[in-house]
Amino acid sequence: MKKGNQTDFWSGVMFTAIGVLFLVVAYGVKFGDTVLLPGYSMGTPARMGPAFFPFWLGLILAVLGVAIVINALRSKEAKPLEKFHWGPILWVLGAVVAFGLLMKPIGMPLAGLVLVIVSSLGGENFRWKPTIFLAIGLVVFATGVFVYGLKLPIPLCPDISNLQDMRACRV
Amino acid sequence: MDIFGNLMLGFSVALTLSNIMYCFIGVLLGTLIGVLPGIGPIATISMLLPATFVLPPVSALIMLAGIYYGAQYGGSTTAILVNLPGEVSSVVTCLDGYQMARQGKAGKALGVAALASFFAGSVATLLIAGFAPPLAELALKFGPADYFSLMVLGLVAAVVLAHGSLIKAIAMIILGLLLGLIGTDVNSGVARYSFGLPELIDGVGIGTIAMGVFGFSEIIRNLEQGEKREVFTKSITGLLPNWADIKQATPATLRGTALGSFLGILPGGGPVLGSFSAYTLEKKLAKDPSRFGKGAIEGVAAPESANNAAAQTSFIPLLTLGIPSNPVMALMIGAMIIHGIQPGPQIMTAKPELFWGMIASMWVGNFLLVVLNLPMIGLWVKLLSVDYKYLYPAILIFCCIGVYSINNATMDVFLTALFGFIGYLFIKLDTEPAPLLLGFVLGPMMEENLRRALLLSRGSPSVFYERPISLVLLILAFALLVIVMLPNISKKREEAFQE
Amino acid sequence: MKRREFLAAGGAIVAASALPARAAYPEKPLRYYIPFSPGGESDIAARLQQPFFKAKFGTELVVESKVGAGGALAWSQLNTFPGDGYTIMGSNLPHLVLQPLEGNVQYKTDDIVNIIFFQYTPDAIVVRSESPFKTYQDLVAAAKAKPGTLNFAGSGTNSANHAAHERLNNLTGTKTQYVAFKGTGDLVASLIGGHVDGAMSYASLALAQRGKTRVLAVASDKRLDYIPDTPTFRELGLDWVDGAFRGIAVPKSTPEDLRRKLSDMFAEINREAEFRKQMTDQGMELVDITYDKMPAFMEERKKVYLGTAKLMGLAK
Repeated sequence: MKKGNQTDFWSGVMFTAIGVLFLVVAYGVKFGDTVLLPGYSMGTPARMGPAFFPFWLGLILAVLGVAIVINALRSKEAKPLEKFHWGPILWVLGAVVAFGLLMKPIGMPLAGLVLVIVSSLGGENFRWKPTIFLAIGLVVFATGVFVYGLKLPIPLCPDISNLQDMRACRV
Repeated sequence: MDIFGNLMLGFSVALTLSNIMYCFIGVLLGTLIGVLPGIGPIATISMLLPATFVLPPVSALIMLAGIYYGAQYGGSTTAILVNLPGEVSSVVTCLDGYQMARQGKAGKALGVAALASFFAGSVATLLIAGFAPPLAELALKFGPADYFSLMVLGLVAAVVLAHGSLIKAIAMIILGLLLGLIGTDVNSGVARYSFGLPELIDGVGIGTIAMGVFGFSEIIRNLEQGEKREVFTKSITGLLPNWADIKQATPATLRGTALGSFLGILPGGGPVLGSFSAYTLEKKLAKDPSRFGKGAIEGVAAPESANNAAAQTSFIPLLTLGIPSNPVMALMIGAMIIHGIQPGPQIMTAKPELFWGMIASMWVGNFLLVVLNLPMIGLWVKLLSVDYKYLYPAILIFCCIGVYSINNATMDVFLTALFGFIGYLFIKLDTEPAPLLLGFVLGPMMEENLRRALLLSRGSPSVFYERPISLVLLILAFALLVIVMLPNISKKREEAFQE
Repeated sequence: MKRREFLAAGGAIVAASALPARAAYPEKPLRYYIPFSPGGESDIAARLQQPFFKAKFGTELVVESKVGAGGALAWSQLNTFPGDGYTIMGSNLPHLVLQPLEGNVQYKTDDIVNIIFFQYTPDAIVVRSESPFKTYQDLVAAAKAKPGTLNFAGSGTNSANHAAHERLNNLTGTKTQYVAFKGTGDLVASLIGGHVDGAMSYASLALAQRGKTRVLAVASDKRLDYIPDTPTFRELGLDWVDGAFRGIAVPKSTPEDLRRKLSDMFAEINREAEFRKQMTDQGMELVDITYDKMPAFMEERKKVYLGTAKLMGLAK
């Protein structure tokens, strides 16, 4: 398994998988009378249904993916897959997801603090004090630009009814 | 038909103190929202519409137009500095602009982007002044079949964007086309690939994908490289482009301007198609195409001039025919109506001071943008010397708020995280994301025009080769494909030879 | 000029009335969701209402776009918003009746509480100036001579335009092809460029494209002032007076008194002479289907649209 162009091999696998996914969802899955996925209508070339374009594109993508896989297996130069660094991935994307989850319940400023602090944990030489200063500074700046400057409808306060009625929570 | 007299009239309107001021406010705001990820000109203009109620119509339109082309300008700044396309049309600017910044040439890249944009904006303004009506007529000649063929040409051109495996680039384009199909099908109203999520009924936003695939994945990659990364921010050479740089960038700027001006007139593609094809053209014409993607100055000049030229010329169908060529232009129509001006073919004769005033203001606006941006370059470059561990949380928070604000949907924040991971996967699998983005933008338009063309021809594919415009475009696409394939084929031969 | 003076005056009134507290409602800005893209008929009407609302009721009317799925994206979410009178949403007929029939959208017609329909644009057949069809009779004759060859552009699938097109085919016994576009702005280039034979659109398109288009027939009950030479379908012997209605809906949880109050407020704006002028300049007719007239009106409309839906093959 470690021979050939591993990078290309896995990219081919990815393309094939995605291609098949689009193709199957467009076409639908039926076993006899049981319909697992209804699919979309195919139509005719003159009156194409919603399934027509994605079905054929999905098929082409899957075929291309298979071709990439075959090419990779035949490739003489060995190119191992680069290492995945899960640390930064989890800290950074985890911080983003946390922000998304917290935005509406606790408001943008508090969620923003969480975002900056959690994502900073993914970097090297993490120190609490400068990070907290950075977080506060960024939140104040972002509030000024997006909420007061551009007047975007962004929740400022936690979603508690008597807080929402406060003047400072409405822009 | 006296252009000179008309332009004089235009400048007499545009150069009043108050109109210069509104123009300045417009381009300043545009630059700001261009720099900020997510929030785009559509949202800004629709929010600011009520504020323009009290202004005279010309001033209001001058300001709103300034926001639009100012955003094209500002979008390139973050593309160059942190690999984050502020606007879709600056996606290609990331390719070489960001590499230049990594080599310590961020100032040069920003300077060339500003100057190329100014040049393109000026030429496009003259084009509008001199040839708006015939150019608009040309745009009307394009039927659905011709649009489809144009998209095919654009997609073939996108293959060139990636260096490395050809077949992977094609796969990425198709993947982009498929992602573009997520959401409600315009023709039947069926929600495709939405997996029951109401937020996906309207499709995935381009901002979501661009921010995730370009911005977030780059942050993760920078973090995993740790100390190694610090090198590129410390060695800044040349704050502004020198003569040699400008000389190198000039032909690219000229070609980018021409291409962008033309594509801007056509409804739909506009700045995006312009910047992608200008980059492709440069890479194909270059003596050493391998420099592209590694910090070639032409790779910044060409797309930047093209997207700015296209942003200007996309006003042509609006001003001469009352046809909006993109959502921002549709909003401009709304703005005109609210100000009691009926957009349409009669606007040039009925309201010459408005028509020419707006055109003249575009030149003024472009000039203001250069004046505004050149001194800013030093500041931007300084930003790069900020320790990365303080810079990336800042990028993240602006991206997250920006992406949320597009639809006020937290789902978009989650999707951006997902695309951040996918983008990281792309890096690891050595597949380049730029073709994917073009496919994503063109996918829905391509399907729509294909279906419309075949509906009009009652299913006969002959429309694609019987219409002269479509035929020429398809021949060009085929020729380009052959040119792209040739080096690959000859390389294969060489390999075979060596065995 | 006059308009701007009015706006300035409006601003002054607002400034003056901002100080003393008014009656309890409205005391803060209203959010007005528009399910269609900025620059379209719905958006423009809402924005024309904005300054009058502010001048009359002292608070801001914040227009926000929530675009997608021909309006269904916004309407599916309407009832999830709080019914405190501070969230309202643009609503359109026949969309609200036809879309749920098709079965793919996430709301039902009766889920949507309409409080007023205030504007209306009649259906119209529009061709470009260079078109060989000078009159409605030319068009029908051509359609009958070569069935299945003519193409008509329109905005959206299962939309007012689509319904109108099916009605035309049915009433005249012709067979023509409907070609859906994303919006009216989107179809104009194809219409003027001659890529379609005509458009099934609204009479207001003639105002926007004066000099480039010709209206062959209009579905109003009498001829329109701005196209006096265009006959109505009734004159041509077709029983056809229809178009698209645009109004405002509120979340189901909104109490009865607030529904009434809001309905009255927008009816009041409709009575403003200046507002009437601005709307009619765009080819939008004003109607006053207020909250108390709504049940009867909706019953009548549903019957009409069910008929159309059968023609379109929507109703099963």
